[in-house]
Amino acid sequence: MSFFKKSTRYEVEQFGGFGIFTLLFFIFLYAPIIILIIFSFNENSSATIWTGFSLDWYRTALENDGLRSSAWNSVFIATVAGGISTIIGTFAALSTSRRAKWKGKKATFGSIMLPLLLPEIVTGVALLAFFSAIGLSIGRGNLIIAHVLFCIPFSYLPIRARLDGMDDSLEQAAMDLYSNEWRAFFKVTLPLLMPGIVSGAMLAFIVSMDNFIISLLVAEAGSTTLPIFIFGMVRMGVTPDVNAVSTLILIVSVAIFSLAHLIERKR
Amino acid sequence: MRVNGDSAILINGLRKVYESTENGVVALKRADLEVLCGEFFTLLGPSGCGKTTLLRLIAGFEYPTEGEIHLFGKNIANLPPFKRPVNTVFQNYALFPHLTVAENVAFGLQGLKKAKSEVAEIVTEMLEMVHLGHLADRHPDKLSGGQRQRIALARALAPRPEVLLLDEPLSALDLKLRQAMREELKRIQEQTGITFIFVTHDQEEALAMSDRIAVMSEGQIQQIGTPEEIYESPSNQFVANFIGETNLVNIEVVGVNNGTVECSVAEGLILKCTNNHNVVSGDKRTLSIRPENIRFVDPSTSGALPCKLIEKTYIGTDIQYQVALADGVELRLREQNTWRDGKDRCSHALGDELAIDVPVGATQILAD
Repeated sequence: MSFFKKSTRYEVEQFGGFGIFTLLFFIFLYAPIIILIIFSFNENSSATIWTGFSLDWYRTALENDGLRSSAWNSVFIATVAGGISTIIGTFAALSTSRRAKWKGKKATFGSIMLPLLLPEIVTGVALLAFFSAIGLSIGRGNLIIAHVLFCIPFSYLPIRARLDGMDDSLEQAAMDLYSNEWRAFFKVTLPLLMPGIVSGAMLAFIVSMDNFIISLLVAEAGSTTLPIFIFGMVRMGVTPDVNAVSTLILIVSVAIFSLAHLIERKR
Repeated sequence: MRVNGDSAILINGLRKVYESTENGVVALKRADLEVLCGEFFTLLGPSGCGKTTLLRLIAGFEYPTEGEIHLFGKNIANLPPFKRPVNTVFQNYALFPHLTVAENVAFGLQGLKKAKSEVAEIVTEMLEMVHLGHLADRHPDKLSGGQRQRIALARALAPRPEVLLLDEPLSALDLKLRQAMREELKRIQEQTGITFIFVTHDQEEALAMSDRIAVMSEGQIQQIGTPEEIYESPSNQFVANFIGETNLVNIEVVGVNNGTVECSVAEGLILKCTNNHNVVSGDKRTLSIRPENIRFVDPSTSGALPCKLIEKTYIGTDIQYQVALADGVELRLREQNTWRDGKDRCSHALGDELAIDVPVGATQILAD
């Protein structure tokens, strides 16, 4: 036996120990999450010692009014901000990839993507200063504005990628077949772009649900989001009801992603 | 009612410059041409010659920098594509992947706001015409290349355009399918009576299908004529070289009598040809001689030119020879590889001293 198994092609599994490293890698990725899920069913109030199975912590979590209202708050903000940023992202993608080359094309693309690279703390502080400077205080409105801002690149990217992969001869064919610009857009461009738009909206929704730093800085009293509320709970010590909430959020996220995947595969 | 022989498309001084780049790329220097109603007209040329630009200008995907395009007397040069009664078969077919075959074919008719019953009727008729009625509910990605091609054709013909534009529609198909589609296209053109403007870089395709051909190069039309005219009497070096194979020989006119010209090729080497360009003594021109028109003859024949065989290539149907004449002038010639009463087909050997005959009518003086 040599170190490399005989093969005519270059395949990574020929390297010795490939299987073990793969296994370690997946343990590293998922072990903490699996442990979190297991302990959410713990009977005991300790987050580290298993004593028996129970659903009590789920009841405790769901009966927590603060948790419920902050979860609702987060879903509302993510839906509105995700929706708005997807609409803006669609327009941005159309206007950057469906027109003749112009001078500032690269710069425009860069400016749209820049919020991805900016440190969140910078964006957060800037927004906080800006809102107080203009005296804007509309509760959840402030959070929605902030979330739209950092969600745009996330919804823009998949839409643009889809659009770039779409031959513009399809739109030409539509125009050739007696469709004006509007009919060509609604009958051809939009339906073909839909999977990209759905992915963009999903991404924006998840990113918004997940955001902590900017939300913490911008949120006003009475408009707490779920991550901020959970952070508050953890400060008192990790109790299994936090595990239960986290498990619920995980289930929702996985469900949304699976749904998006199914929608995309269908077409 | 349109009558065959009417002018379907009349193009005057059409010019296209792409301004997006620094200096502006001239895609079409100047085009003047007329396509007649019911004609199968081909734009033929190498890639980058401006043929696709010309087609896109007629379709309306580009607007001209200068010039006019008349469709049955009406200038359409500045109308958007959806206001031109002209349809296109795209090179990559451009079928709508989210629609079924039937919905694809119906797309143009719905754009024209035809009644539902009429749309359904025409779609059925069109799918019958291309023999694909059984695929009406499939999506394009479930079809083979040849089937997509026919659906693209059915979709473009369904609104009954005044002129059908075809942008290299056969180039993505394999050889056997391409030849079958040629006949199919020709049949459909004759059946529908619609004027076809066909773009291709394949000269064989152009010669086999067209009523008339416009040969293009470097943004200009080089010659317009029937396949026979283009092949037999090319007007310039580009056309002679691009269509089929030819020998181009530089000559000086040394004598003109009764429509026959004596051309000096080299010291002591005179070729005779018909005077189709009114040349006079002293003119320096180029001659085009097709290889299949030159014959080996017995050296004692009058007018025979002595030569030496320097290359011989067996290519199946033909045998191709290269011979050297006086003063280093070389000519290519072809002989059909036929069975001649037991005579060895390739009896000539390299280095043999032979003689050839170049018939008077077989040589063409080119315009430039």
